[in-house]
Amino acid sequence: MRPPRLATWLLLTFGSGPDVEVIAGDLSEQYAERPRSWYWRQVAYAIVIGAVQHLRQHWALALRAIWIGSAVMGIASVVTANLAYWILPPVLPAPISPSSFPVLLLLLGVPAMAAGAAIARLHRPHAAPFAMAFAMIAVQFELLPRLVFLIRNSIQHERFLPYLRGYVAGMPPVIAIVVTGVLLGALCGRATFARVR
Amino acid sequence: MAWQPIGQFELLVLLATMQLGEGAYGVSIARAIEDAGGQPTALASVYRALQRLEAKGLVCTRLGEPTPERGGRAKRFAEITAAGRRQAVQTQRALQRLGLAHQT
Repeated sequence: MRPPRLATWLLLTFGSGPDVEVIAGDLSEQYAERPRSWYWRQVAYAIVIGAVQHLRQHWALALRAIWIGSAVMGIASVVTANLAYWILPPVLPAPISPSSFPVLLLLLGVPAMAAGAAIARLHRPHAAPFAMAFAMIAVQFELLPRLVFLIRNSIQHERFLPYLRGYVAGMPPVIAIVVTGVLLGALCGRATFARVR
Repeated sequence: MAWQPIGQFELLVLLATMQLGEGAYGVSIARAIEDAGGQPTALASVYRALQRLEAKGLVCTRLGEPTPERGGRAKRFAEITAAGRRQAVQTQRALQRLGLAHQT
């Protein structure tokens, strides 16, 4: 029986620490005796535990990576927001709705990719854990301020509740776009750097 | 080497490594801990604990030969050192004494 290829790829790509290959070997060995969910759970634990360990060991570099990622994402957001008004009106009827998927992809996905690529390029040995840490912070930065604002207003006035519900319902695609964008960017940045070297 | 306090999970990994002898590696250690305590154990936690124990000089590890059933990947074998054996005994004694002190 072959273990899930996607899970193994995720472990080998985003896992950090000296024992990633050994853990992948242990999981392959055990896969025949264990359920598929066990394999995925072990992969998730290995990625998270490896990343946390890595961030604790290199916290100063991680802070620098997050600062650089934030700066790149901020600049890229301004550029893409301006570009959106040039590129999207012929495709989408105006006014551009920020909740539509192509707009989210352009306004969030492209800056997230740029930030991930910058982090990976400047911190090649730490690309995966730093990019994951940045993705978590970027998601909170994108979502929390407005979420807190809507929760506070909803507590005071019931008429804000539908806005809050709508915002919460729209959170999963935003999280998916930001996290996927940062990690894809990190993969591209790491690959480009390896080719240049 | 002076007695140094180790965490509960590290102690479990140390004791499992001592019990398993030369053939101890991630899967067998995780299984020994699961059999003893019934708690599912993450392989990554076992290797993290082994790294910490190795840094303290309580275990030593080595890479084995890659095998086809592991997708061509090697095992990392762990072996308890003399200091690790002393540490395990001392920690067990300390826990017993504390347990008895709590009962009286």
